[in-house]
Amino acid sequence: MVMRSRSVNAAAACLGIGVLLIGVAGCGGGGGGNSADQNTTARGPITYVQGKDNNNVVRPTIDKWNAEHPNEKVTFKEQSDQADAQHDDLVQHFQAKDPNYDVVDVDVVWTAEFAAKGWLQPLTGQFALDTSKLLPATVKTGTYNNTLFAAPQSSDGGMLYYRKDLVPNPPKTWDEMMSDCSIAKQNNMDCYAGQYAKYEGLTVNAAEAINTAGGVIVKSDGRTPDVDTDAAKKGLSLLADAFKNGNIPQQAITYQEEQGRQSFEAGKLLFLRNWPYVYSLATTDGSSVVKDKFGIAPLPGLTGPGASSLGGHNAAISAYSAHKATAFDFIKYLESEDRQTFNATQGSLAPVIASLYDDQALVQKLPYLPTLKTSILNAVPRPVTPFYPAVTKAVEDNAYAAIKGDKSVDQALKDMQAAITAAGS
Amino acid sequence: MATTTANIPAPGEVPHRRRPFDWASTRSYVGIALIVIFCLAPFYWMVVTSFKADANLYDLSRNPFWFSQVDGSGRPYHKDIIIPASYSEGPIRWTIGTGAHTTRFDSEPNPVPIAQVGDQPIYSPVDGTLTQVTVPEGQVAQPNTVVGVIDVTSPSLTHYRYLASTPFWRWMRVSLITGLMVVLITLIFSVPAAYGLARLEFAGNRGIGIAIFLTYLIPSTILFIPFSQFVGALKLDNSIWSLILSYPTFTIPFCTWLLMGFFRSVPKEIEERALLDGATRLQMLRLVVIPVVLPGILTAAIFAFTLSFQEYVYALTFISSSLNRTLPVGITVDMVRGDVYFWGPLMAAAVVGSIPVVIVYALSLDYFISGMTTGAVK
Amino acid sequence: MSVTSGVDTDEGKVEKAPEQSPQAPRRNSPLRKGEGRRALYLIVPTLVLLAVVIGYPVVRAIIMSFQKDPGLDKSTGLFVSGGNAGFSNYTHWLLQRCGEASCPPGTLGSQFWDSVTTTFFFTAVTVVVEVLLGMWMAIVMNRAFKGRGLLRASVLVPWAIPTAVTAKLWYFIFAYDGIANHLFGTHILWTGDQWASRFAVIIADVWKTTPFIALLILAGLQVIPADVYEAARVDGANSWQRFTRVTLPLVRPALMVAVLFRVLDVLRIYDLPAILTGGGGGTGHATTTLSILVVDQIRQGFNSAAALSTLTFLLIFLVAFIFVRFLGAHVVQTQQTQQRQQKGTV
Repeated sequence: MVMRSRSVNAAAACLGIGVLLIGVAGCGGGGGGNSADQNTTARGPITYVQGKDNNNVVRPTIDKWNAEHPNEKVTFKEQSDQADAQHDDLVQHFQAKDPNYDVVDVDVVWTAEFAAKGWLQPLTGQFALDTSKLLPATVKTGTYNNTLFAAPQSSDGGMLYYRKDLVPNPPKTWDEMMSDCSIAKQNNMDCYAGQYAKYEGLTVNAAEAINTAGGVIVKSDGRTPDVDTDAAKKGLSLLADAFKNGNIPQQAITYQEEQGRQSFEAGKLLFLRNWPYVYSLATTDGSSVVKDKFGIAPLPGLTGPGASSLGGHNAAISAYSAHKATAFDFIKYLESEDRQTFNATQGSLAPVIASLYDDQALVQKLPYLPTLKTSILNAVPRPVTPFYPAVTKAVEDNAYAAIKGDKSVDQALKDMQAAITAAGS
Repeated sequence: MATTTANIPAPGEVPHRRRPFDWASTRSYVGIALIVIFCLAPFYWMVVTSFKADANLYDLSRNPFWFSQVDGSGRPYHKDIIIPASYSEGPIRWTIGTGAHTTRFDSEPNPVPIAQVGDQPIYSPVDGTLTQVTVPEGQVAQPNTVVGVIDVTSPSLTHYRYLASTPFWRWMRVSLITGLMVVLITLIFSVPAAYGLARLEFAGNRGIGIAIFLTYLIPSTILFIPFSQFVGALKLDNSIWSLILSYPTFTIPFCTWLLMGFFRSVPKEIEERALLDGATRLQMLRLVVIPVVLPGILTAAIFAFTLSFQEYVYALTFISSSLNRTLPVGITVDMVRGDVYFWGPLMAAAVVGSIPVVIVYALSLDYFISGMTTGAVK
Repeated sequence: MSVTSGVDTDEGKVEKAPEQSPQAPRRNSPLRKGEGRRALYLIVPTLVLLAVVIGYPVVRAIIMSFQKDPGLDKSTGLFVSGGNAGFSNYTHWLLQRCGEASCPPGTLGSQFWDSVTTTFFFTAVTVVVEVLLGMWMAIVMNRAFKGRGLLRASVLVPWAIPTAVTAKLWYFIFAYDGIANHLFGTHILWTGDQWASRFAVIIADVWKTTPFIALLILAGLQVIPADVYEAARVDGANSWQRFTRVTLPLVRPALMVAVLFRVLDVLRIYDLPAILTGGGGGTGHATTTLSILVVDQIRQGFNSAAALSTLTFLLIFLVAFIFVRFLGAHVVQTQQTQQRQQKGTV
């Protein structure tokens, strides 16, 4: 009896101590004051966080900076290649208020979410940026609630890649492209593909289809859904009908960017909707059989050029960074004409400085620049909302079902509307 | 029943009747053949694929289960040597001649160029043999043109060599170290706990045993959110310690439960006799109990190692830098560009990555089976 | 022969005679002295560790599940803490309520019951197939023959490959232009079709785990002495009757443990479907299990995710309870009951 109560007491004491310890540890981190006001003039070494550097531009850029700033060296933290993993990694570090993430590369659609959570340093006051030379559309992607939170770093727009040996004049409208599909059949090729797997790329393609037809996903405030309209129905039906009659091949429902590119480079696809990065790869890849046989054109619309979704990346300063002054200088460095030109020539990354698109030397090296400029000028941004993960899921799920034919386009748009509304609550 | 260790019947102990035509035996052999095919076919395909040159690998018209040197039209697999578009034109100087072997440049730590255009190096894109030179020595080579042809041989070690240029061996090290540390921590906690729970009588004995079993049931998704917050708060993100400290949360409950069974199979009489014979408690444990329970401890160690080697969710989330990943996460996340996987190196990585666990099992399979026999069933 | 240790059988329980205390004659044995305290020293470190490392996070997760996810303050545009949610996170999942309305397709809430169905479907099919196949493999492996070593080595292989790597291997096999379609001459979108994707996951899981089940059952088979079979054969039983009347009952304890663990594992499965199909297929979530749904939800609001994972845990607990209580898989046993069985069945 005595022994048992003593042993119980001992056990209880041990457990109590254990819980206390963890309680103390868990309480740490509750610092005082607004993080945005801290460390604003501090200088020192910083870390730049970006996803996989497939174009090999980041390291040379950082090396150049480090040579000129020996006391404020930049370390490159390379994340994985997948956008979702990059997003989750940033979220984790921001939630932990990590001071080691100084400058982060954010996809254009994450800016609102991160800004609304207070994780990004507003680029105002001493961090004000001169955005007059930049493409206005790109500046908009870094803006939330009328404040600039992230500096545009690279831009992107969708383009149509086509086989100029089979189709000398690229189609200007969607109907023209669909009628060119007979050429594809004759040559035993698939006709047209974009990105239709259930991921962010599908939102991009669905948004393009809807916007091209004159519809919108959200109203101009960026949040209120307005997708259950006739125009949107027209747009989404283009994709759904093409999938049904085989103009978009069955396996395209699993395509992300790379698989479409491979199919095009292997000569199995007549038209491809993809980003500019494909241009240099299709020209230089050893396995590409379409090297001198392809051309680029703006996306076909209903009566003229179609709307493309604006892609690209912005650079932002973490609100928890310990050396924000250095971080700000680094951002300005990334946006400088010198670096933007380097990114364009070395990495085929579309610059954000408007004048570079008319630079003759650059256009010679990158023949797709004029087409890309048209694309970006006609680009419509995806919804700017802090609830972007839920909104994009609403679009993805319903567009996927509509394209596959599991749901009528009407029903898909109704559900999309309801789901986006639910996402904001 | 006094037997404390299971006896695996040695071949021959089970009575085997010799009949003129042994249907049972034939049936067995057919069954065995089917089992071997079922277990090994995908693995065999994995191994063959890992040795195939890329050209052979992606040619779907060829036999998937063996190597082929020629494509569908009978032409040997080959790769063109192309001057990069960003190069400027210039006279070409070859450093090798036709018939020479070439190695793929990104599988070498210090690649040697096979030609020079001006002072710009040209590297071999593939393992193979140089068979054709279309722009001979001294002539001017233009960017974006073919200057030679390399015939590709299949099988080749390309993908295995390529692994050296990825963080693959770092991943292997991370996984092995994590596994061993987790085994150590697990055994330190679960062996005494299992002994106490199985052997010693006290109130709440059974309740605690069940409670420990219950903790194994907790899905990692419920622990995932608080854990990632802890890992951030303790600044352990991207560190191997985040894994070493979180894996025991599922290995300890499982191994404690497993070891309880083993300890219970040691009859108390043995221990009592040793104590009566004058042995100290420690001697009794060391000389009598542990040797008997050793298969069980080994089984628990094997399970703990396997569980932590193969764990995915925590390793994916807590470690974000490509250099510090564990093996399964590294293979599935980093050998990819967008949604296109590097299948050759991925298969090679899979083959090499499975070897540690195979070795561990192969060496200890006898212990393992005797352990399972004693522990789970008696 | 006693069938004890990890698993208790109903037969053992019947033997319990309430008034017999096997401990009585051993009250003075040297092991009794200070047993309670010694037990404490051995067990408490593990208990404390588990309480701290598992108990506390679980409690924290449950507390989180009663908080609302941060909401948007419309005036500042910033997220603010959501405050107390009561049970609204749970009704979000169980009753599919998104705010006032029912959750429309395209939200994660609408996928809850689909995920439950998918998870149970996977569990039922994979465990049944694995047990049947594993039983057959164990019986074959139990016979003595040449080349046993080769068989045992080959059986290890599927299990030795890390799960994530297995998933990628089968992803490659099931690619649209991959070897599966090539061998069967089909054009099935294995990772995109509603049922094909589910069967792809099942096939991959069966390939990986059947050897493990076979080994567990083999361990159980190997303790059945040959004379029991002899006696049955002498009594005129054919091989089917020997299987159902001798083998099955005697291997049942090992089998029940194996089944219980597999069931609990598949209910929590994450890596295989996530890597093989991404949770997709059919309308986009044909292979989304509960764990995949939790991870997806974390991206949108982790208080809600905590509620979902709590629900998952309760579900698993319920299934385990049913198994242990009603289906006779007794997983924890004390020395006492084991000794009673030993005495009873000698």
